[in-house]
Amino acid sequence: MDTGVLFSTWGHWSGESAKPQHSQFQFVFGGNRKLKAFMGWDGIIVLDTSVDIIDMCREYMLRAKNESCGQCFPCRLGTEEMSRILQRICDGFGKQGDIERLKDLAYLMKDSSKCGIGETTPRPLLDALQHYRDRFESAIADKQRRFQGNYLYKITAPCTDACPSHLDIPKYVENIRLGRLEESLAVIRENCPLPGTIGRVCVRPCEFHCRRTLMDEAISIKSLKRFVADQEIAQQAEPTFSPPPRKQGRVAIIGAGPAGLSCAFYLGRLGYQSTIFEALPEPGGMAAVGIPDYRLPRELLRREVEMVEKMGAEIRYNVRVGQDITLEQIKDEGYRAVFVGVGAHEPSKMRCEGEDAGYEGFMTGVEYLRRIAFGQKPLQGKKAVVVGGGNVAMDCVRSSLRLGFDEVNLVYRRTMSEMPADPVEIEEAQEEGVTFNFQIQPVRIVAENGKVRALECLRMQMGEPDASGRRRPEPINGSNFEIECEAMIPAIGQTCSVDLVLPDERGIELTRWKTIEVDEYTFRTGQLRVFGGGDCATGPATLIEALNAGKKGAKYINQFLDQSTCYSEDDDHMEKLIARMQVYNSDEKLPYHGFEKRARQQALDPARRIKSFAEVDSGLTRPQAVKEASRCLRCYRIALAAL
Amino acid sequence: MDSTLLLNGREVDFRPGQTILEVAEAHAVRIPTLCHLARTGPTATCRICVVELLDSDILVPACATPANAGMDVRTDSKRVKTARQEILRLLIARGHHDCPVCDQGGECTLQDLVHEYGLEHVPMTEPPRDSPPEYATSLIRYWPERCVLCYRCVSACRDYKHIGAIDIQGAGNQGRVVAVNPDICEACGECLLACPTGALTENLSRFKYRTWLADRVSSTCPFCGCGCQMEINVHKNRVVGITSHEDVGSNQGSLCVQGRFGYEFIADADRLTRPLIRKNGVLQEAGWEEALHYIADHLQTIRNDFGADSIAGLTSTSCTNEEAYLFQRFMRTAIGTNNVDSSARDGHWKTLAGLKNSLGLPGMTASIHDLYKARTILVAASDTTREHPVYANTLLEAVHQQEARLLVLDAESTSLAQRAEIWLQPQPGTETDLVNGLLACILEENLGDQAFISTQTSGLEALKTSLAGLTPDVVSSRTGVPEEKLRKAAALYAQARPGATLFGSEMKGISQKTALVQSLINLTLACGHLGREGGGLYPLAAGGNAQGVCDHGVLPDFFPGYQDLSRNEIRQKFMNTWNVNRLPETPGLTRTAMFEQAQAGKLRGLYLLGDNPLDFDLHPAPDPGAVEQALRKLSFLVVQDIFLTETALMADVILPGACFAEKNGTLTSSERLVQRVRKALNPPGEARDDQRILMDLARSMGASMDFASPGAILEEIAGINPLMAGISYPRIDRRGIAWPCPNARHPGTSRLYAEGFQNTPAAFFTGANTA
Ligand SMILES: Cc1cc2nc3c(=O)[nH]c(=O)nc-3n(C[C@H](O)[C@H](O)[C@H](O)COP(=O)(O)OP(=O)(O)OC[C@H]3O[C@@H](n4cnc5c(N)ncnc54)[C@H](O)[C@@H]3O)c2cc1C
Ligand code: SF4
Ligand code: SF4
Ligand code: SF4
Ligand code: SF4
Ligand code: FES
Repeated sequence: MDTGVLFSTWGHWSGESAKPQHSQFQFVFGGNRKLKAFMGWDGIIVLDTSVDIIDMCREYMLRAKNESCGQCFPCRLGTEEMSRILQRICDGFGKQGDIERLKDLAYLMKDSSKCGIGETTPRPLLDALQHYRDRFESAIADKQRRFQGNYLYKITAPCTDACPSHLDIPKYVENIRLGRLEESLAVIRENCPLPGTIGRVCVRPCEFHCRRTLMDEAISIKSLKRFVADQEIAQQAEPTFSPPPRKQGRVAIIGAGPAGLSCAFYLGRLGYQSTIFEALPEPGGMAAVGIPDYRLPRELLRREVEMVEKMGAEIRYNVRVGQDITLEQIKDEGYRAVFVGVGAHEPSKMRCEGEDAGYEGFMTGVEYLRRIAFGQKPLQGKKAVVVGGGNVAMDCVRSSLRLGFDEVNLVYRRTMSEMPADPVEIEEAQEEGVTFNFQIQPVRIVAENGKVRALECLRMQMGEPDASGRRRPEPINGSNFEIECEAMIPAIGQTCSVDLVLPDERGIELTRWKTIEVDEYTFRTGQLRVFGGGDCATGPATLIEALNAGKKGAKYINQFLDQSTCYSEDDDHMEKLIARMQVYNSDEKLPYHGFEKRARQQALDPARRIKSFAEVDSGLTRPQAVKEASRCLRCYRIALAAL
Repeated sequence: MDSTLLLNGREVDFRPGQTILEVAEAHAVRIPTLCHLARTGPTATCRICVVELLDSDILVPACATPANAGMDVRTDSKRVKTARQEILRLLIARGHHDCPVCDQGGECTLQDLVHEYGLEHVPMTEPPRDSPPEYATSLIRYWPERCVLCYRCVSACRDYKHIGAIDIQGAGNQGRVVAVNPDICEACGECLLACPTGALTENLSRFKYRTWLADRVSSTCPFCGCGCQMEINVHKNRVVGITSHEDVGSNQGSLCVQGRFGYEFIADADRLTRPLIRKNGVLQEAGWEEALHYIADHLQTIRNDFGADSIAGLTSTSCTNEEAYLFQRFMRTAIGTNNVDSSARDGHWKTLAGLKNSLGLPGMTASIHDLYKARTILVAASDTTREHPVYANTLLEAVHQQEARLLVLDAESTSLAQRAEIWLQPQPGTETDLVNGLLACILEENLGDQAFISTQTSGLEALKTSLAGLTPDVVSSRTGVPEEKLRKAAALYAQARPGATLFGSEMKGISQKTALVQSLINLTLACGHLGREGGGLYPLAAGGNAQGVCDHGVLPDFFPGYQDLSRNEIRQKFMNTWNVNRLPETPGLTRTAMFEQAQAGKLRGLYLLGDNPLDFDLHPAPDPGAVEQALRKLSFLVVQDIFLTETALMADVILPGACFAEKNGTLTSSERLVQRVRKALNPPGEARDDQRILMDLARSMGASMDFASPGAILEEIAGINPLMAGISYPRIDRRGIAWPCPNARHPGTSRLYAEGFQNTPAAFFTGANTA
């Protein structure tokens, strides 16, 4: 197969396993521009003969010099010196000995720098000096000024790359270490408008891709975010934003969930006013009516929503679009663009006898949690059963304990290790006294006089591996048994049903899962002025993905309103390209082990905390946070693409 | 064994958690450092300390790399040396290092490293043309062209002092140390100490001397009870600077603005240089012989006419131990009265008396460094950052690095209150109620240390009775502190053990100081926070030698070492040593009583050694007018001081004494450490060492009190004061010793009651025994 790759050293610095398939290197940017060469933390890839490697090295080192934080000497001084030498060669004033000097400096920097920039940026230069030495020699001998190429550049890190909204994690963590808390929060807000919320309930893909894991334990990235957000509240400080350029026209946003709020926040920063139409009397979407208060106190969420309002958003509550007002009407009211962020709220079916019978004592997880969020006690009794293994199920069992159920059983088809819920959630639920029942499948709801009395279940075992090699759970025949309960709560997931929310929609295409179809870069639907994102586009996902969708939506709405057209920008293509290059390499070998465990927040005592919906975790103390922040290795990686 | 590694081919062992640098230091292998500051997390910026690990393709910084078992470390391989040389070369080439005009030349880590690694022919950039940038304090000058951007100053300010006045701003090589918060700079000079180059220099005056020309005399800072160790730099009989070292003294190199920069008064033109005698209402210069005889005559006349008890003596809290001892001996023997006291009366002595009554010994129960081990720290009515900076440094370090929990009890907002986990802010005047409330809550909920209470204390039942009715709601409404906060604080203080309690001796604005101190002692006892590393009561003395002045008998009711005046065998012991056949038996007048008696016309002669009662900022008095009247009423006032103070202006005779840098002696810090002050220069003009003045005056009065040296005075003290028995000049030459030190081989006692209260249990104060 023709991979298009002419030359590549990619992957040899951090070990073969890090090497993506060569076929993945081919990449097309907007306007059908092809990737010609790539320079980064693991070497060089050349796909086109027209690339001038020497000029590319110059550009790369210039970027490295500008990115150098200046803290460690070899990187601060080395990048400057190397950049100067490379510039001189490209200007036609190269000197004898420059190649050796570059090599010495590159080795010094690679060997003895403090962070990822210093350690990885000399690598492609060393590759170039080795494999293209003759070209460097003739460049010095020819004394010709070289032509400057066309490059795209981006800086990332394993954690940043893993984060759906690409927060500059090393930077905000370092700001905490240096005591610059306001700056830290400002860095977070660049890509996350709800720091206190995300700092409490994010599913934290970043931490699962933290390079420090290879040394001892991952950085507590989430708790650090919460820490700075909480500090702002403790100091009674208001964030300062430079006033945005005032722009003409309003934007309509449907749904005050994370996606919609994020869109409004970033539109505000770009200078647009917006109106959010929300069906419920409460902002926050699933963050408010799904996630319980003991994980995310409502006042905190409301404060962050207020911040969004201050950025220029007006929220109209109790307006169900499609029912109280149609999308067409909204557009006719003069809104220049629309962002749809209506979420995914339909509960999935268990395929269990009796789930549609309307028994008293039966309620789906999302509804159960929503009612709790509005202050009700939706189900009565002493014994509850919850079915499912994800975070929603965890929220249901733990909320049940807090509502006064004495005996709470969780029923899950597979084993503990396969539970998608966050391990911390599982641990905390266990501490609180939830009984976990694994490898069990519900088959029938047993009711008496229209009231739930028990759940009939079957035991499961792992079957033979199927064609894909995955073993599926299979029921053990005749293993039926009952778990007594007065309340039965399935929490096995939600689906989207945008057709229900927006019944009148034309032009917005839906996928086969009834989610709306949007462009992967611009988040625009098939309709010119309508954008969308969050759970309604992805199906049930995560807060941070929804926030990212809102942020991108705002960016492209701005582009569209400014330029009347909508095209994907290079930076977003770079993001995608980099993600292919495997920023996190779980096989990497670090030269030594560390012994510093990650910081843990103080939690309320289990016996006490199940008595109320008061927040369980109390956040890191300042000393803890500073210490934790200083564990970060700053694994920055610089990527340069030649077009 | 698990914990061994190869260090340059030699197998060495280490403790898990140590860095490679620490392992190397422990095994006497030198690894150069530039940015490393021992007590902060590594900044790890300079990479001078890189070492090679076998099997690793990069070098690692020794200061920031944890030692791993089985590592094969090379500290001086060719690769390592080349890297170090290269870094130094880049560094020197980037700045402008004109060593001959640099104040730091000769004492610069960078210069030393360049020399050690044999760099030659490095081109130097042009000198900068722009005027020097402003720094956080005008006492320090910043030289960007010498700055290597190592972050030591920034970490020192942030992590040692917990201030954060400066930061480095600007990308890469454009970085500059910038005063990001100049308003909060305390001008302590911690950054100056930390800077490894000449990028920060003292800015009082330049070109005074070259570092190698000055004499450096180790001494103790006399300004507060912290007892900071420092070096006085003298050149041509003038103090040209104060330096300090991270590895010397409890202060670990830290000083405050007074200690580091406050030396210029020594060369002040207004210093007293000759004795003065008031003749015809005017102060006139006189010779020493004349002045001393004049005093002797007058004092003798008063004694003959009105009795010895119509004369009294007062010292300040900054005289040395030897002076304090001589002074009280002078008053008790040459004059024959117990009317001797000091300005510690209303301050430090109050707290010491409480400690003595309840626990047995009048002193801090632990050491500054014990604070590192405290789990909770309660700071009551003390603006510690300002008044006792070294305690503040240490406790904040404990809070920030060891995760100790900080509680502050103060009606006023202080910088510590702002950083506390819980700040209890009672209505002014209700501090004691609040402490009693905490105590009541702890006893009620059995949060205290039951074992300690039952085996080591007495008086619990009476205490409980006296606290009856002080329920959290009552206390809350009385003090204005929310009930929930009070309960939280009580639980924290009682359960995060051991706990340390700090309290200032000034307690500005608090009327019932004694009651508050007693309640704090009760609180500590109830939680068993005594005798354990990290627990204890920390009375913080204002005045450099308040502790020593009390220790050495400048008290109307105690002989040196708090020995009982009224006991015959003790009086006999002192009579023998002092070579007299009579000593006054009844307690003398306290400082307060002296002014009352003077006003009533009963006290006629007063001898002030350094005390300046008219400085009401320093010694707040309920009725300032009365003090002035009292002084006016005296028929004879002698003032011995270094400046013509307000009080001196009223004197009949003024004797010019010496400041701390001009004499030898010892001071006792709040943590009971007896440490040396050393003579670094001569007093100005005819001013004299105060010990000599006291001895000469005694002789003029016909008493004999001669010692060949201050060391000899301490020898006499050691013979007669059991707390000091084992302390002598040779033993404290390099490091102080904390009393009690019963014999010459005893290391001193930095933590009191470590063996518990075996014979006499510690007594809870109750209404009954406080009255
Ligand atoms: C119980 C539970 C726990 C979860 N826990 C976590 C977690 O810990 N971490 C995490 O990252 N993610 C978690 N999630 C997922 C996360 O909450 C969602 O991915 C996220 O809220 C999606 O945001 P969204 O804005 O796309 O949609 P939503 O949050 O669903 O918001 C959509 C909003 O639109 C409104 N709306 C819907 N239809 C209309 C209409 N027709 N007119 C007007 N308004 C309308 C809704 O009322 C809602 O306010 C959890 C989800 C649930 C259900
Ligand atoms: S160590 Fe820091 S920079 Fe590296 S992956 Fe973890 S959080 Fe990111
Ligand atoms: S800082 Fe050090 S190297 Fe630089 S000029 Fe001063 S003495 Fe020389
Ligand atoms: S003098 Fe003290 S407070 Fe001021 S910047 Fe230096 S270290 Fe900080
Ligand atoms: S001023 Fe001194 S301590 Fe501060 S960064 Fe510069 S060289 Fe380092
Ligand atoms: S001393 Fe270790 S990096 Fe500077």
